[in-house]
Amino acid sequence: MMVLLVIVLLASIAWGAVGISLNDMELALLHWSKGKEPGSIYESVFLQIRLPRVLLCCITGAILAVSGVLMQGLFRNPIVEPGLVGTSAGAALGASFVFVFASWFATEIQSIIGPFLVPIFAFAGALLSTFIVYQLSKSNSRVSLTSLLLVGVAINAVALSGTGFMTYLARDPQARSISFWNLGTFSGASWFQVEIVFLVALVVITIAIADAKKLNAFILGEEEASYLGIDTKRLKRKILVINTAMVAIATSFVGVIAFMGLIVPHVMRLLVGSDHRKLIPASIFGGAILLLIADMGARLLLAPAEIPIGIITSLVGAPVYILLLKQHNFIDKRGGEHD
Amino acid sequence: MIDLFNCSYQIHEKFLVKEISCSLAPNELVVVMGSNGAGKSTLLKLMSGLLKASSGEIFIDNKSIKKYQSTELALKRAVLSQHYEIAFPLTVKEIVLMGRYPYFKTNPSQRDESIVSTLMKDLGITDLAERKYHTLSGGEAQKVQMCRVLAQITGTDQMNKFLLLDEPVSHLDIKYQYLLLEIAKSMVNSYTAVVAVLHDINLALKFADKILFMKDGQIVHQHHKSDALNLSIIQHVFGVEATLIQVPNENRQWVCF
Repeated sequence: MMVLLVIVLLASIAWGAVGISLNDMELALLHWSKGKEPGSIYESVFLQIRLPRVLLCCITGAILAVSGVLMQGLFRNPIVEPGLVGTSAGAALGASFVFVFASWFATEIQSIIGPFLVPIFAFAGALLSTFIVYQLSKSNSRVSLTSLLLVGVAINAVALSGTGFMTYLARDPQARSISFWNLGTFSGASWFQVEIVFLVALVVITIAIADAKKLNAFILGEEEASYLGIDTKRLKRKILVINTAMVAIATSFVGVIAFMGLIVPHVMRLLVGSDHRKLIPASIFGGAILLLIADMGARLLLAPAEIPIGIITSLVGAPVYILLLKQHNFIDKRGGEHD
Repeated sequence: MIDLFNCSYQIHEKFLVKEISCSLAPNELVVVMGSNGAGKSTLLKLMSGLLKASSGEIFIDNKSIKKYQSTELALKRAVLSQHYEIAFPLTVKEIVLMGRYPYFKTNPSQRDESIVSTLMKDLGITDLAERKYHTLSGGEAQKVQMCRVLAQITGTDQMNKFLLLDEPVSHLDIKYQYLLLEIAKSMVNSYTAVVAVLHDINLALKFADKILFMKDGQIVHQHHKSDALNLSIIQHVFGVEATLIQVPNENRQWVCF
């Protein structure tokens, strides 16, 4: 999988509005490592635009995939993903709030936490909506699929109408940022974003891998996990928070990218099984590869114009998802009624 | 080893378990019997530490159950529940290995692996090792879960342990009902006690050292192995007529309903 990732990575660097050869990449890295200026326009496109974009894409893909794994583990349900349970919509609401009202914040505050405003609000919105969905869909300490999806629909609708209201209030350029954000795009990738997202991903994925065994026990059921000595309340809270942090940070830079958190864990489960100790690492690579391919599609299909990546992942993701459900009878023989 | 003093558990106004006092010693296989809704499962959940008693106290090895860490309890007791719903496809081996989760950090040790494979052989599920759990029949699944639970309390010697089994044989054929209870019985030793909820009184009489009869959240009668069987209590607890017959050529009695 590592090899596949490298191939896809190189391919997505090379192809774009401006083609970049392996030679350019090599030269650029050589110049950069010696602290010299880039030798050609190709080298600076590579260093300043293509490389950060591709890296951001990799990390975001990994984040979304792992977050899907965590969500599904937490809710004990294979068809949960950040988009369905309100996480993404909540993050979108938080972010659009900032787009519209950023000017209200005192300029001093802005100068200090300015770049972090969107992530912070996206995180708060995501956490709040996910928490509400989780609490409301729980009855007798069990989360049933039906109530989960229904509550998810309701909370999503509330968050969406909130975002809609923000769009209505917004002036033109603000409204454009909101709508772009809702569809997801990597076109604004910068090294700063790569650094932040990388750090968050590193911390959060490390925690997730450390808890892989506990998530496995959760597959048996909450009670069974606690019989095995796991503090289930604490685990749930922790997963909810780190997962939301992950999704919020990722989405706060690149917007909402649907279906990644659903598809990648499904495919990886077929490849390596449900053991989280294997599933999480596999999903990191799977997510990176898949999102890189999607981003290439976003850049190349209508080149030189760009399609928002969220449109691509939804268009491809939804049918693949339905196909998966049909083919592998994945939800199992009980016809999908998971309680 | 486990002592309950005046334990009650209530939800709103309703008592599921009411003022139960009993104790459980190592070397005992205790069977809990009673009609549906008598509070058997609730009693087991109180003993396991999953539910906190609304009033009364539970001590395990003379230490209040509230003072135990969940990781500490996981080494002392294992619980077999009535129903399992596995959220994702896992193989039988992966499930059984979960019984050893309290003992290793990321990867199972040689010892964990050998405990698991021995137990799987004992229960006759070695051939199922690579099968997906959700493709198993009810009886096979029950054996797998039992195997996992046994793995959880195997191999911590010199320490009091107990096994709580909530209807362990409900999906098994006669042969495996006997096999499973024989295995449960063989777990009983000077460090280990077993508590099992059963519905078949004759099975209970054959294996139990002590039978607790429950009705409406209370223990109404304790039957010891050597006692003469109290037929009127049995009729009272289950609410049906019963007669006793002598098993030919064996020194035991059979309850007919």
